[in-house]
Amino acid sequence: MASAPLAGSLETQPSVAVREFAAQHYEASGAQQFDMDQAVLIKVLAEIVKQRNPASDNVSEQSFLASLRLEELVLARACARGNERAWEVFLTRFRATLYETAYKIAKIESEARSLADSLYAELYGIDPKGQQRTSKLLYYHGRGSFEGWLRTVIAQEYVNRYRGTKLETSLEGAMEDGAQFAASDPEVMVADPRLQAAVSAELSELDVEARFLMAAYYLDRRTMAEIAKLQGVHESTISRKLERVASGVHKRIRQRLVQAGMSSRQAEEVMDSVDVRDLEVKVRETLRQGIENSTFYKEKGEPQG
Amino acid sequence: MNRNLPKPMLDALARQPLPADHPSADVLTAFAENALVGDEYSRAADHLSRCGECREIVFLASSAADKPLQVEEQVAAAYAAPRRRMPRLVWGMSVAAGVLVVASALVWWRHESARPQMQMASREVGPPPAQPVEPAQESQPTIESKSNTELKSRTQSQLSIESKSAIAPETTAELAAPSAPVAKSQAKTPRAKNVSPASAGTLGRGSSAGIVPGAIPTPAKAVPTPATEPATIAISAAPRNIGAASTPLRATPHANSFAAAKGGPLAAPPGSADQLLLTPQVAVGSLRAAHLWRITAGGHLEHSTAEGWTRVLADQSATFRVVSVVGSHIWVGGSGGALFHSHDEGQNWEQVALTTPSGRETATIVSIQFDDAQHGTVTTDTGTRCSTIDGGATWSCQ
Repeated sequence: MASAPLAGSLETQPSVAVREFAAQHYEASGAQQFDMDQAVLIKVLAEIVKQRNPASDNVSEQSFLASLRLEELVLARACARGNERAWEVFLTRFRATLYETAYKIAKIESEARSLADSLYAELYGIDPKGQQRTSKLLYYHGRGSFEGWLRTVIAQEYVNRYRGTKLETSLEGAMEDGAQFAASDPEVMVADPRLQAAVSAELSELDVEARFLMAAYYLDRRTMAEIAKLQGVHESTISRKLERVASGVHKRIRQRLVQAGMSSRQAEEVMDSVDVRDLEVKVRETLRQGIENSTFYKEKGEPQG
Repeated sequence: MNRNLPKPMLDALARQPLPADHPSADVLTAFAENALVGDEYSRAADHLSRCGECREIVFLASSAADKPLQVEEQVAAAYAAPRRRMPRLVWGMSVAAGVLVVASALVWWRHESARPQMQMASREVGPPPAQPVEPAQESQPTIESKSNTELKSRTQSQLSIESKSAIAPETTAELAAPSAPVAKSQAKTPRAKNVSPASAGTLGRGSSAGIVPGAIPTPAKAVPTPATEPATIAISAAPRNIGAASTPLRATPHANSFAAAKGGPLAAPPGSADQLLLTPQVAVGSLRAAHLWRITAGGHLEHSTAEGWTRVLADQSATFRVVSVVGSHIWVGGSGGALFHSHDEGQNWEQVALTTPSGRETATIVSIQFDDAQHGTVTTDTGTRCSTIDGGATWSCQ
């Protein structure tokens, strides 16, 4: 998942861009106050640049470096190195955020405290063997804000815990909670292959943003306010986008069905009545287009998100 | 909005294959903060459209953030919808605003074009035949109510602007007026209608922000007063409170009244301007048949005549700060303890030395207040107060 720190095992040769960037921004980064010299900063930056998978990225190294949150990255790395001054700064600036975020996510104070405490231990990097600090802060690469990263990490931890406890739920408990188990329908509707083709084609042609919106709104049942907050736009913007996407999808699928030989009425009926789980849409093939290169780094130590 | 995605499409979305690798917390954070560059955004969005767990993480983290929506976007959205929906109203408002601007300009132009006539009218000797003076008893209520309202509103606005602008002492231009006769004549003389609120407004504006030489305030709708009985206007703050610069002061009743110097008719009703809250920097104004005193922004004393403003005491190096007019007596004070007195309306001047127990007073004089020609008090910026009871012949400082 996240790029693991190289921990000095693999010596990365810094590029000229990295050296220049480090030289230009060393003073502004605040590395000096945490006893990080320029060579250390160069090494950190070189590792991050190397792990960014530049083969599939059309952004120059300079632009990538400029987009990093250098000051916060330096703070995180200084904390990971065990600098006392850095920890003072971290606690001053982010301790409250840590516990506040945990409470907002977990909603229960005891769970929130447990969540935050465990994460704090991971951030501090307590090594059972006492050999080497393996702080989780090493996974912060300065791509987003440090505060946002902490929130995401807490959310990951919470989801992992929730997933774990969810698996432990007994059948009796689920039934007591009102879960119902539907009987299988003996009459399996045979879907029209034309519908399968139309949906498959439409899904493959949708852009990623539309798919993300649809998934968040229609599948996860997120509110427009939540999506708007995530994307940093107004709720009405999300409303317009969703309306446009939904009506467009509906219209295009119907057109495809009509082109395939159905009448308009037939197309409407098919779209409203058929459960697509009966279709054999080759979604995997249609969606794998253009994403052959691994988008994200696989990580061993970090929980799956 | 209805969740009305076609069911086949919805189910196809749900059945998308899950990706093997998940983005790091770093990338998810950057996605949520719109900080991803290049193709990374598309890749992250593509992953999130298929991975419910990552979506949950992103939304959980987002919900925990206190960061509100960007204000400018909210504002833009708030204004965008009505603008699209009500184009006619927007156009109508624009046209109305344009008409308002044109009307204001027209009114201003007419007012400006009428000013020379009014100036001439104020300099005439004797009442004009076209506008005979009406009996005071009959016309008083109408004029009083109108002038009261206008005066109060205009003077308040001007003075409040002045007090807010924190004019530096040395840049304050002041006009002087004979305060003592005003106070007394206010109580004794009948009211008149020869000084309009407009003249008071002009005076107040000029006295606070600097009067343009030659721009002598004149009554806007005046029944001219005979030259032998010049009308005098005085607007001043209570001098005793000068020094408490941040505290609004209530003006003394006699100082904020419109009066005639020699038993002339009063223009504004009592209690119209004397209820104003003034700051110590409020200017002192005097209209003496186009006979004004002021201190310029550069600290010079100037005297208005029919030809315009003339500098007085030009040979003095002191920077003047305050001028006070009591009848024919003019008092002016400034830096270095400079205090000058004229008993003949500025024809001749004499320097007055203020002596304190520790020696000659050298602090800047910031206030001069005379209750009459004999009794007055001078205050310096160091708090020293010198009083006289014999028209300035002797002073007692403390």
